[in-house]
Amino acid sequence: MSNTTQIQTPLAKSEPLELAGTHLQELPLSGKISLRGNSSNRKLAAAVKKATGLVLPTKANTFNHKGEGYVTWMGPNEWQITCELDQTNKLIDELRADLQDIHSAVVEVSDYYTTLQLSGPLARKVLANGSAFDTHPSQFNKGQCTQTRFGHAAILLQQLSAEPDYRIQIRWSYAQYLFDYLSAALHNHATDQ
Amino acid sequence: MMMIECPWCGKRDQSEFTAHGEAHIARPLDTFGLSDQQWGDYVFFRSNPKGLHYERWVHSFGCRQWFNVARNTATDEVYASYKPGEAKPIIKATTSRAKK
Ligand SMILES: [Zn+2]
Repeated sequence: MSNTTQIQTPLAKSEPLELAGTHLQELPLSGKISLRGNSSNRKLAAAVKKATGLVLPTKANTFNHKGEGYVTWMGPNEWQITCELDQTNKLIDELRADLQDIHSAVVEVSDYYTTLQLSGPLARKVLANGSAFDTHPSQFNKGQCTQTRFGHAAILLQQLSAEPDYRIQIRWSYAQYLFDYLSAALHNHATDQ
Repeated sequence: MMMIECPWCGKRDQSEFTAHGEAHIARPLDTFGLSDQQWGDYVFFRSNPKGLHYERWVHSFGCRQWFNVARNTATDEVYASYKPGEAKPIIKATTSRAKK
């Protein structure tokens, strides 16, 4: 008997969509760690830098990333660290070891969420179908992130490039709802063109 | 549609927030000395004005922080948002739009 677990993502059966140059798909499952702490304690930023190589963002609604590694501002004392799935345990151990003396929390949330990619010229219109959040480039651009609302779902939205290229993180149980909503919106806008 | 300023995230649609009633209600310190009526006032009774109201909101779909808002209950005009622990801002125009 195999002692490895096969994890199937919630949208494993949903085909990627490409319409009018705009792309929608679920990304492979990543490792996700919720980090709580006080950013004025230098030990916190130092531990994050050591473990991930990334600077802890203290400016609201921004993130830093390199390859598949992300450190994302979620609130004034909350961040999310994203990494390759097989790096998660190592990263958690390192962070917990370095943060054990300070008031903090390191919790794995990898299989609580999944992530979609939505990119291309219609991406802003598609988001506007279900969210009042203003994605105009003067308000939201590369390197910025936010938690907001899309339909009935709470999402984390990150913008990776000016194109725009978005990452949308969603709770596992809402993933199908979000994917169907986004793909219907993309179909509508592609037909309108 | 009402826009509310989150002290951390900036101006957002009301649908990202949840309201939690009147702000600046301090828990009585002398809890053992309180009469039933005094407890009742603290727990259940709120001012419910038409016009300026200082109230607690939480950015539930955003950064999930609690903060205070000064709002006109008749017009939904939002005068100010401020972080917990910050002093209540003094607001003058309370019913300017309500009178129209
Ligand atoms: Zn906020």
